[in-house]
Amino acid sequence: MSDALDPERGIRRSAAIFVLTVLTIAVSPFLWRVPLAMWGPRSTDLKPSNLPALESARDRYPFDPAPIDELRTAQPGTVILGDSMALRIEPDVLARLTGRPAVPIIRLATGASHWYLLLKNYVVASGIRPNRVVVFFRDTQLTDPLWRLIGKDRFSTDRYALDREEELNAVVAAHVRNPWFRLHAWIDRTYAVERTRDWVEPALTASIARAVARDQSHDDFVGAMNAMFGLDRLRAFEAADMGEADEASTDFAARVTISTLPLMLDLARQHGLQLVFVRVLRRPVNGQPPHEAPRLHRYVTALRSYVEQRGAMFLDDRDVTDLWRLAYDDGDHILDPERPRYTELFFERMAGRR
Amino acid sequence: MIFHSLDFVVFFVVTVAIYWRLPHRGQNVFLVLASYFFYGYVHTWFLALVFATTVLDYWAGRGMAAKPDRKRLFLGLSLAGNLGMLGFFKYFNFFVDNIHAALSPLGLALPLPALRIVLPVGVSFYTFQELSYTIDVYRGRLAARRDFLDFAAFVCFFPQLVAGPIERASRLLPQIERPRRFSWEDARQATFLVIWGYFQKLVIADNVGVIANKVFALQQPGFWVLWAGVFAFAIQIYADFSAYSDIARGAARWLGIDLMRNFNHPYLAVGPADFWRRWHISLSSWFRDYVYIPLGGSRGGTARTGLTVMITFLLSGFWHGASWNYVLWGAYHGVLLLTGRAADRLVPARGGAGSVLIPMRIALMFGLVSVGWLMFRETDMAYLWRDLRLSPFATTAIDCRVGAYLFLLAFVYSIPLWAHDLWAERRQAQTEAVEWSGRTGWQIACETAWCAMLISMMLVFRSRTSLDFIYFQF
Repeated sequence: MSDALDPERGIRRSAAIFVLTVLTIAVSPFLWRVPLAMWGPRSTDLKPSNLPALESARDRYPFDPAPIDELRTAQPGTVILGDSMALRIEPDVLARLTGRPAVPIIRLATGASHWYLLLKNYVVASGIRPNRVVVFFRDTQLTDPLWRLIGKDRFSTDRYALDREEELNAVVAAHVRNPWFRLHAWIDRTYAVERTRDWVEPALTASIARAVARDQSHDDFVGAMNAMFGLDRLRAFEAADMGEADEASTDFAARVTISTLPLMLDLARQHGLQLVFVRVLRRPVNGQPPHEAPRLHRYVTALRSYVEQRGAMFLDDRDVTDLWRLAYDDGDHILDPERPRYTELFFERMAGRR
Repeated sequence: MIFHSLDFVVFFVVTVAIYWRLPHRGQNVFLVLASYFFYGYVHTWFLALVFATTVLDYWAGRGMAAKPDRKRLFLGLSLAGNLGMLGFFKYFNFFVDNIHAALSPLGLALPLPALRIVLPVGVSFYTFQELSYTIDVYRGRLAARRDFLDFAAFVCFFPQLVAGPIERASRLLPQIERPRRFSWEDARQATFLVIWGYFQKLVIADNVGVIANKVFALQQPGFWVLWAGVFAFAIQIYADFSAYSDIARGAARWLGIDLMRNFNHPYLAVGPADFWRRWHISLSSWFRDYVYIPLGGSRGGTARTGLTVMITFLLSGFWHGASWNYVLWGAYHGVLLLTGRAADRLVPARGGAGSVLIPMRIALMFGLVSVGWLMFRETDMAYLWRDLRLSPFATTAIDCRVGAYLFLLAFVYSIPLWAHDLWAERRQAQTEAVEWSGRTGWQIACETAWCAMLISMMLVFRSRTSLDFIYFQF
């Protein structure tokens, strides 16, 4: 009897085709393993991840110990940690004002987890005793350990993370105990997704770069291209790369216990370091600080209380009216010519003159 | 809620599972509830707007049916309500800024407030969809609906609520009103559409979008880098919007509802008129039916038709956003369409589909459309003016090489899009004929293999940077 005459049989046939289709689609990504095994990097060459809660084994960049030597040589009075927000300090001006060198360890496009690693693996590892270690941050960043730890900025931690980062991994694990990350990790493990990506993507871009670089070496071409898209060649955009904090991220009590902030404070206490957390002023609007939601205000109050109770210093640029009038570049960055003035104001606040 | 989030996947699976266990009336009740949940997921107050316009247009439709002699009044109220809301949320600041700009040279300053409020996502889409209902009822082409629930489901149907396709009431309402039956064949087709949509978004649009964003962030890109960026944006905007439409169509089909095609391989168009028959079909046909034809269409003389075309395209440009570059983009396409018509009259098309001129016309049209995309993407008029005056001869070796690199990279990511469109264009007649009917075993095998390849590629080549759907901002 044909399907047209037997509707039940037709439905069963359609359902079977549907299931077969889904199975075929689900099985197909396993085919990546063939070229990966034949031409890809050997799995024995891969290093286990230092954050296994986040990712599986992959090819990692080596640890960069150079800043440890720099710190030991400079014996700074002030160490500055952070992302591009920390560029508002002019180290030479601060050194002149304090009478001791100021060393910035600034890594662009980073977040709280990166700063924890910089503190632990550079500042503490160097054994130096600066007067203060200053960390610049925006709004809720200190209690958001996944900020720039997932996605394309993740790989920069390789340069300052050790082979095992148990404490940070525990913090990350507390965040990834949700269905989305579990699904992601399961797919990654099952299909070797990240391993394949780490092999195929660079191969694709490198082959195109080689095709157009002609007489230039691949590295020279990439270097020239990176220079073309350098920060100094970009338009000034008002929009910052970090949006307004949402409801969940401003729940300080819930977030702080699963963040790197307690780890940083513990490290500072154990090694006799004075931490200074500076909350930078988001881009002012018509000479006034931008609107701050009540929930964010409550968060900052709780954050201030928390770090001060644990021996750290807390400065909020929003409290200083002179800073409202500084000219901003793009996003939350201040213009270069304003940096000396910012540094002077910062020093006066540190010295308790303001 | 956005399509490329786990929240949506969970929401959709749960919705489908419950939906097919309900009777027809229950399905429509559930559809409204699910759609309101979907739309109010981030900003609950958005629901007030969609509910208010739903009530307004339902009431206007009922009013027109009950009092035919006052149809014009009810239509006017519907137009005022929908366009007023659209104007307030989308264009208020634009008008205020332009009034300030116009008065400042005269030394005048009006104390006009600026609206600091997020644009309700999808407002341009669902207001136009609702207007199609009230206008069609006014014209007598559609009966005013009695059932408020069915009408609410038509307005807020979640797969296409936020970014279209802008469905016609005459097409979508009957589907909501009649009982629907689950079909495994539809489910399979729907799955293919959704996979192709996600591939377009995650692999093509987001990867080339990163290239476009980098180029348009430069202060002074060289000629070749700029046009590589424009090429990347041309691919991005098509793949991005087509992705949304395909996911919407796939999601709707899972619910037993057939949404219209929004794109028909637009970059294979051979001329401006052909392009607009293929690009954002639901919007271009809306403007054709509710603006162009009521204004006279091509019934008047050449000058009158030209004016009508320009008005239609200027409004279409303005619909996209409250910025002069969109108006300029609309004007450019209006001029392009009129020029294309004049050229067709002077040099009538010769030869069939195999004509050697066809690839050249496609390439020329893609180039012209890309110039339009530069206007569309570049919101700063000073930068736009600079870009349009860039000479290909004022370049450097590194500009040429980086331009070639970016172009090739964008092209490589877009190969599946070109391959899909070229294949589908060739098989258009057959594809259309069998779209809703049964496939042969060979066709099913080919489609399955294609989707398996897409999934495999998606896992490895999906962009590490997730970008919002471009048309969300409109």
